[in-house]
Amino acid sequence: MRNTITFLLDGNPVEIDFSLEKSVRPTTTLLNYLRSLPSHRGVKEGCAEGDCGACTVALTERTPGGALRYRAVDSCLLLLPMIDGKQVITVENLRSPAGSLHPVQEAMVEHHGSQCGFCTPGFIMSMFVLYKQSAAPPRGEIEDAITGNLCRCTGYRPIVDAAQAACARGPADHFTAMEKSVLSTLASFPHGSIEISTPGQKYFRPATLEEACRALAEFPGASVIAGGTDVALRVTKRHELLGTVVDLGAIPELRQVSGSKEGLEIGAGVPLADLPSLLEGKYPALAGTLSLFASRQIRNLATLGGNLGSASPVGDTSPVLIASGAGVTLQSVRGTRQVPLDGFFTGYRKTLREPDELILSLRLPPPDGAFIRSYKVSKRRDLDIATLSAGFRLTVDGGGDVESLTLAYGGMAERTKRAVKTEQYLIGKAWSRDRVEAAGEYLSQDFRPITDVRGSAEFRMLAAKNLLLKFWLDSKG
Amino acid sequence: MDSNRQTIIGNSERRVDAWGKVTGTAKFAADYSLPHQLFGKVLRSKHPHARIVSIDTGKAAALAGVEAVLTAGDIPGNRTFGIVVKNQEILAGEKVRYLGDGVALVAARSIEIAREALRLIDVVYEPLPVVSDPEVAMWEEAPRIHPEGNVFVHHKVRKGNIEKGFAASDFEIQRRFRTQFIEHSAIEPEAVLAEPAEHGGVKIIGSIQNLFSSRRSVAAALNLDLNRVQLVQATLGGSFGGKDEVMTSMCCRAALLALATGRPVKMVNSREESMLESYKRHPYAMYYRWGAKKNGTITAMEIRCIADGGAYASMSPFVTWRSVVQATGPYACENVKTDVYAAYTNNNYTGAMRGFGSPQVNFAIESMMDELAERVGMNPLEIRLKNCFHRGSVTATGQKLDHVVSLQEVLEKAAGGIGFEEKWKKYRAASEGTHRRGVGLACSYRGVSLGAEGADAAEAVVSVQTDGSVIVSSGITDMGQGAGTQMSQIVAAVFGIPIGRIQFMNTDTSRIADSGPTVASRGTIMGGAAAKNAAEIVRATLLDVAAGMAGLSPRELEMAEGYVVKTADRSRLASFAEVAAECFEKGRPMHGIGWHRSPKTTWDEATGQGDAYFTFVYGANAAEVVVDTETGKVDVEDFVSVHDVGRAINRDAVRGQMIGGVAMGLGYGLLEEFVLEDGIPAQHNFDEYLIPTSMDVPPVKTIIVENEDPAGPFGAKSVGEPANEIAAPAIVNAIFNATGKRITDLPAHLERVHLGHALRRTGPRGSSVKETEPTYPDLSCKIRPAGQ
Repeated sequence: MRNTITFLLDGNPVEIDFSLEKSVRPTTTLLNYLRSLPSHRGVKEGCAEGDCGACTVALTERTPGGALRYRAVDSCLLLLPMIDGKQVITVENLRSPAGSLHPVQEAMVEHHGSQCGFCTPGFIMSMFVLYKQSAAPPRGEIEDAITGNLCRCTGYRPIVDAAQAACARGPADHFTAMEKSVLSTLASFPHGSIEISTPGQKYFRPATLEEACRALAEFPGASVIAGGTDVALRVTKRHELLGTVVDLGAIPELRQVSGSKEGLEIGAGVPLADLPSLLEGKYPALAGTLSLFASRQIRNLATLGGNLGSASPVGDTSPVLIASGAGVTLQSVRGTRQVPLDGFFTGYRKTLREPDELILSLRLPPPDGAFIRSYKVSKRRDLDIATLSAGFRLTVDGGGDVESLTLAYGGMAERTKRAVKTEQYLIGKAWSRDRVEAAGEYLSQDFRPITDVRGSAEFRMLAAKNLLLKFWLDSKG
Repeated sequence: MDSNRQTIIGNSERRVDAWGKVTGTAKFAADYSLPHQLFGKVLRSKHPHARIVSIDTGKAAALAGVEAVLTAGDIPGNRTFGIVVKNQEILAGEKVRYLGDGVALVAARSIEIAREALRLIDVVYEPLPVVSDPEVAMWEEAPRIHPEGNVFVHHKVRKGNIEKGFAASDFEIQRRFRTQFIEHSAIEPEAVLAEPAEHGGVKIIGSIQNLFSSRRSVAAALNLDLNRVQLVQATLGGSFGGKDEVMTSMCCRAALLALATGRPVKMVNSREESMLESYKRHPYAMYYRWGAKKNGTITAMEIRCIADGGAYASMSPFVTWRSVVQATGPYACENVKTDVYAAYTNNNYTGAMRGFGSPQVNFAIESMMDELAERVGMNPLEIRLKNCFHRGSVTATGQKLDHVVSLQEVLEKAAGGIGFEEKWKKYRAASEGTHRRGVGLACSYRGVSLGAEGADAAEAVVSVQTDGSVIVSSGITDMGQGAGTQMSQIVAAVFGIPIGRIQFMNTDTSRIADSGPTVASRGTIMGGAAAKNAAEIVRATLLDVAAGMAGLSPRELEMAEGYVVKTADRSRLASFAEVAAECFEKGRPMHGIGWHRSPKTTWDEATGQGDAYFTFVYGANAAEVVVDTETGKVDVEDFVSVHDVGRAINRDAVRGQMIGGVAMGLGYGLLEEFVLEDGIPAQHNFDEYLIPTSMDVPPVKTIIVENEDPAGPFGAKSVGEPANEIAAPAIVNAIFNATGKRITDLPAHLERVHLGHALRRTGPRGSSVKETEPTYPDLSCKIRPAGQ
């Protein structure tokens, strides 16, 4: 067990011993840490909740294949132990050793991509990671890469132009030459579990499943961190001093993905950003949903385990996962159990998970030809919590009647919930527009939605009916 | 005009501040720190409207690490401030008027301690009835927010005789439009660092838009002379009108704490604190009644607007004045009666925001114009071309437009850029499918700079160094819009040197004259003209010195490409740096103070007649949208923005203003809404208050029109606000073209654009528009009884 963390910053290993460093806590955010240093004030705070991207930095880590992977993340959502073993790159690190601007910086100057400049360091870092990953990204990919960065001045187009111009010159830069030495430095850092004890706080970052289960059994009331995008808000927004934290981010088993005849087994700790490529085109409805999930920076941190475990009533992924027939594997010192996702959510932010259990993985059955669609209704195209989300699955028999039907809705109840009465009404009946329109009435029996800042009850109900109609239209091509 | 001016003016020079911004070295207010600094925090109100019975700060003051706890009684000088009406309190004394009011201040050794101290302050309130609707606030029986009554502005325009105008009309169109509170959403939250100065005064560096007005309030609050209050502008992370009064109160509070403790005090708002306290763009209720003839001529306009002023007067008197001047839009009408009111409520106070009273009325005017087109069977382009101003037209305020009025040009370019007429006809005829397309058009005219609001002058100082480099200082602030680059480019043009030789200095109130506020899109036209004047003073001296060196007359010389050249044969006589060094040797002045005062404007408040602005700019926007009739989601797929800017000093900077303006206008039209329920905000951060992301803004086509105006430097006028003021109506008009549904309340979000069947057309286009009387709100339900 270590009570220290080690990471690479400005080309040098940095070790933080929380028992010696009085100015930081294990729950200090990377943003606040960086801004406390004299040389990293380019990292900005605009919202401290992962919505504006002004604090974006790049994290690099060693992939299982031994390559260096760059990720753009919101530093306001990272607690310091989460960067253990990684390299942190901020806007101050981008110039070449000789002092010349990085191609993304140069392009931002050239294209007037910076006006007031407060959001600029964050944009630069999102663009930098894109530069390292894509040689000639299409406009859509650029827009997606910077969706998590808000700009109020430019209207984005000059920034998109700059990204396009810069990436045409990539991905080589002065970081390329350093990659080998960075990899060996990262490999030389201490590995294994971390246990930090400071006055009032205990922070576990176990490196094995066994230790994680033991920690959860010992501290069933601990705050469990998967990607941290939800829990970090308790630190930054509610100013809570989290007493005991179990951080599941360093457990290899939670990052595994395996395919078999029974389907796909996805580790609960796989970042959502990595999922679309792992789905191999077999689950298009889920992949589509993931592309609209929050922003690139959030998807680089957030996980399916965290998303399901937090049981948001308007989670983006849970309806389509229920419609896909997904199951959850839970693990504890007591053993392993599997439960269907349908039924996993038991109430407002409540699930079947016992306090000593962790979500190990999610099972997706193999595609069986059923018609599955996922929908999200939100005011903004993305980076927006849904007013309403839905995942639907349909099979029709030879006579054109509904054989099986799953209608899972988010945002219509205190949890993701199936429209059971509506399903029952439609099953065995002709899959026709008239029937679907008539079924809309049953939705009013299934749900009593609420009015809040994201939408009124009346709107939710009408939109829910229209989504069903949209599903019918989509099924007819 | 010599050759260098031709090349550098209009050129897309790199921004002078770009290097610092892309490398992270640019220092914003929150990036400043001083040894031994304390952290200041504000305890804000618990009620939107309440009498303060008592404040007990004892427990907070006793907390270890707390250095000062202050309340209103600790303010030595003026406790209130305000641009027009001085009724805004630095700290609430007897009562709170909105939820963002501050009641106590804490300075502590850490932010955590300061936050803890706030929790220990006991405030006893006696809740008062809350008024949250300005139209209700206007009623005689409404609870008073300030003793003088709730209606604090009534501007009028009277032209012709509207009874006769309506009598001469063939039909009338009557509509009510409503707009929402808008949060400025500069990505940088407010921040200051105040430091006790050695002379007993105070020095404040901060994210301050209008340093001179903030300085006046700090000096008055602390009983200090203006020369002992030094305000320095840090690199400003966006403002859009939003870092004025809220910064004044933050400066006053930090200065109070700094002088009370004798230590530097840093204050930085979290996003939540910023949204809670800061002022917003005014919501308007607008009642428009037009009389028109079958041929599309408008015979009468009767307009009544009520602005929600919120808790304090702030800029409302000026914002609403621009509304009253521009309420008819750029359209000819002989008979006009306009009344614009502002009323106090217990909402966030409202003030300056990009557009400054124009986005609201432009939404109404441009919606009305489309309805008029619908009624007389013309298309939206034809109806605008028929009614719009031309050179020599007389506005509603009786002002003759004696400059190039380019409305026809901008309208035709916007329409042409999007293929308007053909698409409009096609989309109007289509009636099937769940995804409907539509195109919309909007145009505007806008008075440049402050107009008859008040004194309109600015200073710039140009100082040439002995190595030929140049320092430009100005009382006009760069908030990100690029004023520093424009001024540097103008000075570079006058001297014939590269812009890289120029260093622009942020505003420092102790080193430059009060130049008024950087508002009203006056940065380039006023600051640029002052910088040009300053540079020309030095240029005359330098040419005189060079003439002496060459034995020629200054009239035979000019400056180009870094040299003084002989005009006749373009021969280079000496480099700019050599002449600068010689100038120093000769003991001649190497700096120039440029002052620019705008041409005269006039206003008669009783009749609303006068030459309100010394010149105007013209613009047109065209939008193409796709409406999902099942969810109400509107996607803007194409957009053309056309603005006559007089002359573009820096084309990329102008383009940046235009695209950024459209993005903000798109938010206004479709997404953004700061909702208050009984004075309590429903939004706290960017997860709830939605501004557009890169995915929401389409590739905007920009067309810069240049009809040089003698009123501006090198013919330049302005673009910052015009760029923002007509995007929303263009989008809403496009929604009408797509669905036949007229949105009269902003934003046109999912629920308003509404759902499948609500949008399905049942009859011919336009028939869903019903002539309804504006309804007035029910008094009883809008006043929340005390204590609830």
